[in-house]
Amino acid sequence: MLTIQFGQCGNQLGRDLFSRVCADLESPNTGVSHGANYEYVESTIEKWFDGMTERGRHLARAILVDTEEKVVNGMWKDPQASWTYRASNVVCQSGGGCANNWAYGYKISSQRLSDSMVSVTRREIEKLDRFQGFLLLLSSAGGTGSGVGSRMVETLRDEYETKSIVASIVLPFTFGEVSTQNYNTVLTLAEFSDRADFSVLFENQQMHAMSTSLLNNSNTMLCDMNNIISENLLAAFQPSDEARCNMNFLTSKVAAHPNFRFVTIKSAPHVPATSLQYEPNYKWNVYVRHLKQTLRISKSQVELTNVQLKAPNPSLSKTVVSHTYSPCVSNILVTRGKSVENDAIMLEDLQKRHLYPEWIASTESLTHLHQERKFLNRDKFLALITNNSEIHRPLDTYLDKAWNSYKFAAFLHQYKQFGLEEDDFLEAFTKVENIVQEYKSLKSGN
Amino acid sequence: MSQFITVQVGQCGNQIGSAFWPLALHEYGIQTTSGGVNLLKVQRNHVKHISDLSDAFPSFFHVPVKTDNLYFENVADLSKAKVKARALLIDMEDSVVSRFKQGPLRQLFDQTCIVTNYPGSGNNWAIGYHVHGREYHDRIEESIRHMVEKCDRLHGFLLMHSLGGGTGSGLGTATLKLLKDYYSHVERIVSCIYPANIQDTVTAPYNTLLATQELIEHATCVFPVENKALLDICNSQMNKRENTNQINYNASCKPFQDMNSIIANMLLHLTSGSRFPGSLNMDMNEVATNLVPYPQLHYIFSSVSPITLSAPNMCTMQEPKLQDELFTNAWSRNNQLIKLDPLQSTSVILAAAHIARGNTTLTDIKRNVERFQNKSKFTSWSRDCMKIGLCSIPPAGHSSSLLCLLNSSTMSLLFKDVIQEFSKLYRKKAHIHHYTQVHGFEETQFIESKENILHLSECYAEIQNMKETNISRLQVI
Ligand SMILES: Nc1nc2c(ncn2[C@@H]2O[C@H](COP(=O)(O)OP(=O)(O)OP(=O)(O)O)[C@@H](O)[C@H]2O)c(=O)[nH]1
Ligand SMILES: Nc1nc2c(ncn2[C@@H]2O[C@H](COP(=O)(O)OP(=O)(O)O)[C@@H](O)[C@H]2O)c(=O)[nH]1
Ligand SMILES: [Mg+2]
Ligand SMILES: [Mg+2]
Repeated sequence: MLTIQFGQCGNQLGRDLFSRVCADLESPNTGVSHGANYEYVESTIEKWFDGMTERGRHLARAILVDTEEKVVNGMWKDPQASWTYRASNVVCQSGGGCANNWAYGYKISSQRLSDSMVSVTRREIEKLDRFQGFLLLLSSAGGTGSGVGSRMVETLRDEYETKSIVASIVLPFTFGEVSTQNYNTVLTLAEFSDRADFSVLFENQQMHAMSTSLLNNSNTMLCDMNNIISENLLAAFQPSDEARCNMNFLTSKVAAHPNFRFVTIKSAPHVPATSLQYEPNYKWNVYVRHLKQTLRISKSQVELTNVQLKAPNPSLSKTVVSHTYSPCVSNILVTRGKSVENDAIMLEDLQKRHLYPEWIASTESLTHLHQERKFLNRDKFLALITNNSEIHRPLDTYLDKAWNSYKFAAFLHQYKQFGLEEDDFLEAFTKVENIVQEYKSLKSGN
Repeated sequence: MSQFITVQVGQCGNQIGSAFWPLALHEYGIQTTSGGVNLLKVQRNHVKHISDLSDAFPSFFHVPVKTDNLYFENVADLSKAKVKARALLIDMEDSVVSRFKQGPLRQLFDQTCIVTNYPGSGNNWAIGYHVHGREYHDRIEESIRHMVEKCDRLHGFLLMHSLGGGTGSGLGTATLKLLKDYYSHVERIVSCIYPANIQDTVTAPYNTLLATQELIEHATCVFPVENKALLDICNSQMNKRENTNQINYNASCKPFQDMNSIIANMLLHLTSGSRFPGSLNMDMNEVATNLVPYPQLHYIFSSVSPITLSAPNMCTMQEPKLQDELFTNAWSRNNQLIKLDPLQSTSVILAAAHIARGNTTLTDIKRNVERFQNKSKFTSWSRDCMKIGLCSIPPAGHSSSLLCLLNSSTMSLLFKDVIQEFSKLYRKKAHIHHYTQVHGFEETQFIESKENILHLSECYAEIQNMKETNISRLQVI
């Protein structure tokens, strides 16, 4: 796998991700035999790293792309870490950033960067005999990640037609952190919907809420949010017992249908670092049921359930409330930790027909991946990679806000000066409207 | 990190510059003295950030020899390393600039980047713009090129000048135009002094009108400043008994220097995101993208909080409360650099940016931007036109600070005032011949400028009265 991190968000997130990979590698409490752990470690290293420095630090198989060097310079700040980046994998031109402008990134900066991006990518891939695919990390609100990232996904798709491209896209706080974030987000999503095999979306809003309510970080910072995102990604991408499980496999299981290519990851349990040792160890089923609850939709606006912000509740099974669940195109459940006979992992909850539209074959609906080896010292950790209808809500919000500015032509001149015309906007709007519509009109069977 | 070239024009511009450079050095931990008096004590905590600070040193300074060590302790170190400020000093009289040449920082300025003449522009925009503009065009262009060649990541010109006189107003805007012609891709950030209503010079209304028209046409962003606002801020600083550092500083200042320090401080904060790292970085070119929704609506309210250069000796407040107070103060009209209230009830906000330095967290800024959204009025599309920035290096003298930039329809009052003052004078046809006799100036320029400014102020009114429209979203077939 080759990771490409774009812009400030992508780079900060990538750095956290690789640190977590190392933390997972080095975690003492593996729960498996030496041999099994060795295998896990080997395939982790093969997945994320590419050799070592003279001092024995792992070298991340990652390319760092940015238009402002401050962020990228900060990537080397931790000389103690057991890993580092390859300095020759930095593609950065000090253009002073992309001005939070998708058009600037897409039309201007990408031109300056594309030759070196392409050649560094080729060089990295030539070194590999088994190349799985790309993992792109970026935010949709800025200009570099969104614009340069969009151009790069086009280039990669042209050059590597059959390789997997998976993107992890961070969506901005809805209160507004960049004035042009909604335009940038719509333009980015439109671009990635066609080119990436699938994109994992993370809403900053949601990450912030999880950090404050589940991890008790009353003063949550970006690094806390990145931590949650990294854990989600790793819970999904770290090796599992399914030998065929590469990116192509994941794509075929979670995003087989070309109209549905935006997924989210729900995971459990999230426990404040300070109370990790007091963490109750529930049975697998409690967690599986909890993950299912995260797919619940609120029946009314008043009762806004956000189960992701709640701790798993073992008494849940007893309550007989009939909830409505968001229709899913497909789900992948990844379980990490020991499963024993009297605590088996039961999948029925996630296989229920009422979770899926009728046209989804029951064999396609849920895929289960398991790994006995503990993830980051946790006895149990679960991730649900879900491709479901609820994603239309955040997308609809960004679309609505973007359209609202577009009606009044606000900020459009900023884009026009770099050659992005009304037609380009309308095309992106149409694409994303379609995606929202498709997801919205998913109806589950009974 | 980005590099900036300051362009200081006229008496006022150069005086602002003379307040700017000691503070810029101070931020990097370099103590300056004036007549044996330490201007500001270097803060102890600056050592913590020493590597980020010295990395950013080339933002404002050119260090000719390649050295790994960009850490300087005092002015003598700078002279030894032949460090030069990235500054262009232009004046058509030489009293202020010659003070520079004799002052403690004299070594900091490159002779080729000083353009002076005698005896000034007679408080006449037309002389500054047309006569000197023409005569010095090549000289100025050359000086700029000389400096641009010493930059490898030039991302902005910072212009400082007044609008009431002749040189800053006329030659300043001519230089602005020159920058646009030659370096169109580099941001042109203007911080300019609007004259007080009680005129210092009779022709100030003419000069202001003509210069304003140029700023509307050619600047990327304009941060207007009024001396009356600065004066009020200084007075309130002097009344804060507990802040003896600030009082001593103000007392040691030359006339205007305390006021000009407020502008310098704002500019340091404005450029901080481009110079120093932060978890939500804000580069210079993001200012316009985030704050200018329509062409030419680039006049921006600015306020810094805390407005003092150093913190009071004691502070007992808890951190979140302290943070909230930082924001509340930034929104107060008492902290604005012009005497208008951007949040007055009849106005709407077109866009806002909150740029925090130091230990402000994402959560602090999120909570407060939401507070801002609840207390302000917006157009139907501008409620989420918010920009937030987090820079991890605090300003010298504080553990955190905030710069609030607002694009508010209140700005139309500034333009109305410019027109009103102009019309009062023009009705009497006073002093017109001083302008019309200048080769290159046509009297129609007065009328055209007035029309353009009027048009701009109407744009704000239009936005304020924008009605929600029902153009529905695209239908999917
Ligand atoms: N979760 C998370 N979001 C981040 C992080 N850094 C930035 N963001 C988000 O990313 C968006 C801003 O985009 P950036 O990544 O800073 O922009 P960029 O891609 O560098 O582009 P320009 O700065 O415009 O050149 C906002 O929504 C931020 O909240 C991070 O470390 N974690
Ligand atoms: N804030 C501030 N305003 C000044 C300063 N010097 C002059 N002014 C203002 O600038 C205007 C006069 O312009 P001046 O700069 O003297 O003219 P110029 O040299 O021809 O550009 C008046 O409005 C003054 O109040 C200064 O150092 N600081
Ligand atoms: Mg950036
Ligand atoms: Mg950014």
